[in-house]
Amino acid sequence: MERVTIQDALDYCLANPDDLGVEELLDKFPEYRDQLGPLLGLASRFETLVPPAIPVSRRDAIKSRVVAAAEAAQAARRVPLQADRKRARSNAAPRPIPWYLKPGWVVAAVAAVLVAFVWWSSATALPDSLFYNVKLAGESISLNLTGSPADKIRRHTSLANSRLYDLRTMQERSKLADAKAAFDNYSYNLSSSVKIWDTLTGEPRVELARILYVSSVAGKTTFASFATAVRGLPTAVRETIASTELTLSTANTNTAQVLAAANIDLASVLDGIDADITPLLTPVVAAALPVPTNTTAGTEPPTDGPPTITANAVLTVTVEASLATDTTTPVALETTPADSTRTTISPNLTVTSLPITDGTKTAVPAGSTATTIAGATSTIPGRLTPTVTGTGTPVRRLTATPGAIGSLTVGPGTPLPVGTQGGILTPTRTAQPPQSTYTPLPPGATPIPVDTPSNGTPVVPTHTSTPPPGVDGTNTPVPVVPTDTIVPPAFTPTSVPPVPTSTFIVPVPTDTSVPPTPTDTSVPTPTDTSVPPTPTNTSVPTPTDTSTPPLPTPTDTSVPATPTPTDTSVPTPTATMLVAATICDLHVLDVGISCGAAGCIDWTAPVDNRGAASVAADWTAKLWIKMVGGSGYVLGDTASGSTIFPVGTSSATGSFCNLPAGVEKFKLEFEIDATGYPCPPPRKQTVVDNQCGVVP
Amino acid sequence: MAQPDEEHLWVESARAGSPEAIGWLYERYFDRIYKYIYIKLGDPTEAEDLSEQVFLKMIESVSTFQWQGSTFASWLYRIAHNQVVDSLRRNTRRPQVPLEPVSDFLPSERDDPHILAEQRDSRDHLLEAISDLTELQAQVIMLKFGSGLSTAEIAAVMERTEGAVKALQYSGLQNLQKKMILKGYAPEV
Repeated sequence: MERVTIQDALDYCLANPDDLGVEELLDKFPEYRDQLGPLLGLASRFETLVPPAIPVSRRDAIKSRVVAAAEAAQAARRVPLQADRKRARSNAAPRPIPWYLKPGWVVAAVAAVLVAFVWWSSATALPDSLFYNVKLAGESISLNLTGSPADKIRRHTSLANSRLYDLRTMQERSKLADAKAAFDNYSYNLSSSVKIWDTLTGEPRVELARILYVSSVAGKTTFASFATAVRGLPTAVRETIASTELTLSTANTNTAQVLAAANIDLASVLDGIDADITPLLTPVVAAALPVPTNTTAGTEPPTDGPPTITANAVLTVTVEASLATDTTTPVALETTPADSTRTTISPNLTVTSLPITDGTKTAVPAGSTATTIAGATSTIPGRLTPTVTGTGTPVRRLTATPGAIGSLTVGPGTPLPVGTQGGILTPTRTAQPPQSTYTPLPPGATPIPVDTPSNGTPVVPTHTSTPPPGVDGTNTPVPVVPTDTIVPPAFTPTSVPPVPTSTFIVPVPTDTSVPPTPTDTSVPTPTDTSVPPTPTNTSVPTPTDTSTPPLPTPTDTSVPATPTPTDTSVPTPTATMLVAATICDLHVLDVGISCGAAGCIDWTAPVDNRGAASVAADWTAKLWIKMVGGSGYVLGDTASGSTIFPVGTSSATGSFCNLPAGVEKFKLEFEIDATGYPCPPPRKQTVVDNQCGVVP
Repeated sequence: MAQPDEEHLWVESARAGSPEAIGWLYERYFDRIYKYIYIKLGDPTEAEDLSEQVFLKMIESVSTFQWQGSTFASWLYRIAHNQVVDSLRRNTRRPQVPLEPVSDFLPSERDDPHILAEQRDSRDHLLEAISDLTELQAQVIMLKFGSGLSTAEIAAVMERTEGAVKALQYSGLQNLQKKMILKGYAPEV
């Protein structure tokens, strides 16, 4: 039989389960009688410690208040299901709750669905989206997980480049005014990467200078494209752009110097860039007016119906199309720059091939009549040259980008009628770039008549457009009126020549083929290049450069008709909606410490967001402790995180646990990271006595 | 798998926000918490106030209570302990004259003032001697004789084995006896 210890014996006597007297108890443990006797006598003195009983009325009153508080707390979070369950529940002990109905699981399930939804929504969010700050916050979290300085630079640069894509898309949608969050975040990532890069030395500094240099060039290119749009932006956005341009310039210069000192050719750096950067090195072309449907006088619509090339692109698209009137002549359709998304070709055009001259992706399957050239997230470096066949009018040529074949920028989801008549179709209200009001026809190129030849093959006009005076006839751009006006092919086909196979592949214009010098001063020349697209599309020419293309000088007597815009999908400039809120709008109101459970201390920092939108911010909370008898504060613990602060007052909270014993005072510092922002970091600190009785 | 005991079910219900469960836990623990605080502070009025605060704090935090490595009783006593520490700190910073027991705590005419004085002295002597014990010994003595918890309950509150509690209880009473004798509060055995 196991021997009873004196500890067990004492415990039995104190519990006295059989309600025995002291002597009876001691008789049960005779071997311990001498030791237990005094201890039981001492224990009897504890009866003096019994507190006065609380009167029942007051005890019940306390219970009423406690239960009322519980009911109030329950009401705050009650859901109907809980209410039903509560009514059904008797005062008996509650039944076990199934695991899947336990609050933890329910909350976890709801949270998982919410997180998935928000993540999905934020992944492709643009700055005018409610989820954009969620996207930025997610990026910020991933940034915090990045380790080495080099990795941080790469990550910051990558995020900066992502912001450039966001900004370009916003500009193409004429929504730059709503893009302040993207501007701020770009500025933050750029300046952060530069700041870290400045601390590097040796080979890592040179290596990472390549990345930063390329990114800075991309940034400068992108920001240069904003030049004409800046005037209409809110002041806060303009200031951000201005300060960011300074940072960009500095980054560009410094990295270039480092690369040059290392005998690295800057051009080679740009040549070797990743495909996902390439599109950023091409100027952004702002949203242009849709090209109206042609209704050129003196020509007849094609009998077999016009082809329509519809571009629903969010990115710049260049369309070069030569269509014969039969169904077999190939039509070249080029898209540039690299990234074309959601560009559809319809109807009557059939894609027969898609040679990609400088890319890695094939996007247009043969045989499509309405085809997405690239997926929504595809990036196609280089130039796409799909060849399509179809029926329609002879030549379609849409705008030009500087130094490239040309581009037609369209707004998101805006159908873009290419034209239904012959001639060269030139949208002339492209806001940017200035050099691209029209594309000259290649030297020697001949407009194809729009009438339907009897033999169903394209006809070549017997004459060409007359070059403007003073222009070399061998390199004569097709004169184009800088309005939404179709230059009609003024000729009468007299023969049915074979269709020249090279007319629709337009070479990259060289310097000599840029729009001819205007000589006819009588042509009205609107000079305000920043006039936003006029919703009514009144065909008032708004060239973005100062050159005045000559009036077409057809040799026949047909008069160019005033184009009658039929397309009603003119992008209507939306009212500028200011979404202004940055880190600088945050104000830390206070920092509070309270005693938490299990020896932890809880802290909370109410933050007032005085901006007009939610702000995602990184913060750091540092707990300094002063030990009893210690001479000063030492850092006890640090926490960091990211919080989205909605407009108004909200709080960042946290807990510090595992604190040492003997803490006399706490000092808590809470600071919001304002790196890259033109304001001191919002911060607050507080010092309190340790009232939490923290034990190890 | 063992069936959860009744308290476990009530605590789970309280975590889900049930006022009935809060009421049940109040009935189960209020008197013990009140005694525990009273012994620590020696002021019935403040002990009453703080006991109420403990339960209000419990309502705020019970949804975050985790069973892992802890019992509800230990968690609740931790709240009570923090309340006591806060109160002591406040009183240290703002010295107060403790309210003399009034109204319901007033001794009845039947109470002999001499007896009351002796009881007060005895309590003060005990508390003084207890304050000289080790932290763990003092905690066991307080919970055993102040709150009236069983050994098993003390073990749960202190997150120790029953054997350890019994050992602390024995050594605590032994030390207390010695200190009482040394201070002249108890006759030498």
